[in-house]
Amino acid sequence: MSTLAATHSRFTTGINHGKLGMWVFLASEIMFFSGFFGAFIVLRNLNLDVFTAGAHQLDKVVATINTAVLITSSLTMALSHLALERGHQEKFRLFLFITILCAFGFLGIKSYEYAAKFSHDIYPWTNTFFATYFTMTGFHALHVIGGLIPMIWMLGKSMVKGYPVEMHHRVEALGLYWHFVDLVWIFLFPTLYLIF
Amino acid sequence: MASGLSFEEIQKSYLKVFFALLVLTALTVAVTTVHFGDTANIVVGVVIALLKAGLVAYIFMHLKFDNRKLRYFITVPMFFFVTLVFTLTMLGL
Repeated sequence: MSTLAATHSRFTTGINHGKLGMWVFLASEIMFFSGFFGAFIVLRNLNLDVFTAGAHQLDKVVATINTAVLITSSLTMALSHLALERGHQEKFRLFLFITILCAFGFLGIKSYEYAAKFSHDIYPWTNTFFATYFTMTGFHALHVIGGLIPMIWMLGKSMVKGYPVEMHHRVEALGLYWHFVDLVWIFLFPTLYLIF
Repeated sequence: MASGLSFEEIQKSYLKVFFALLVLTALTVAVTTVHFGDTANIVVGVVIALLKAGLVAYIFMHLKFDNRKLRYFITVPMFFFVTLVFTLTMLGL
């Protein structure tokens, strides 16, 4: 085994591989969302009136509350990893549970916003502004759902037999993803709601 | 991450970042009521968003404490993102 390792040129990165993989994925995610922001700017400059009118139709108060909900979930996610790393199983479970609640809260508020738009006969095909609005927020919401699934799985596992402390890197990698979802919203919020 | 610090010390720094993010969110909403000019308002919005993003990446995503090389994973694509945003905005395309 040692001879095999010696013949292969392996360089250690000094970084947990799961975490490194998550960072590579997040770098690709920045590029994925950059495409949407680029499209938004070009379409906005071509249809300035439609975009200004559209931004006025969005509910700023509800979106601000949703921003606070997502920021809170980022805090509790960071705290839940910290708690697990230090071996506090109870706190880990509690903070992870609050993170899951906030994620559901965010999706609930987002659904309310979508429903309010549909009830006013505003759909993705209404105009260019709402096409970009629903595409960007929709893909963001999918990312929230994508984060919720492993979170619920981790909480379930920790409730059945306790989450192993030596596997805290997995929670950290999930946390990195979750903070990234928060980061995307930090840019989406002023872009869609506050520029008019 | 910074293992030399106690749970309470790190928790305190996380809470500080959390409150800073809430204040910056309130600020970014508040500045929309003031009209600096179309481009200036957008620039203010982008600067506040970048500040918030920096806080999240630096503290919550542990970049402050991690291997420095990890920072390139976020700074390089972010550099291209910001370049894209500014070029498209300035060209008026």
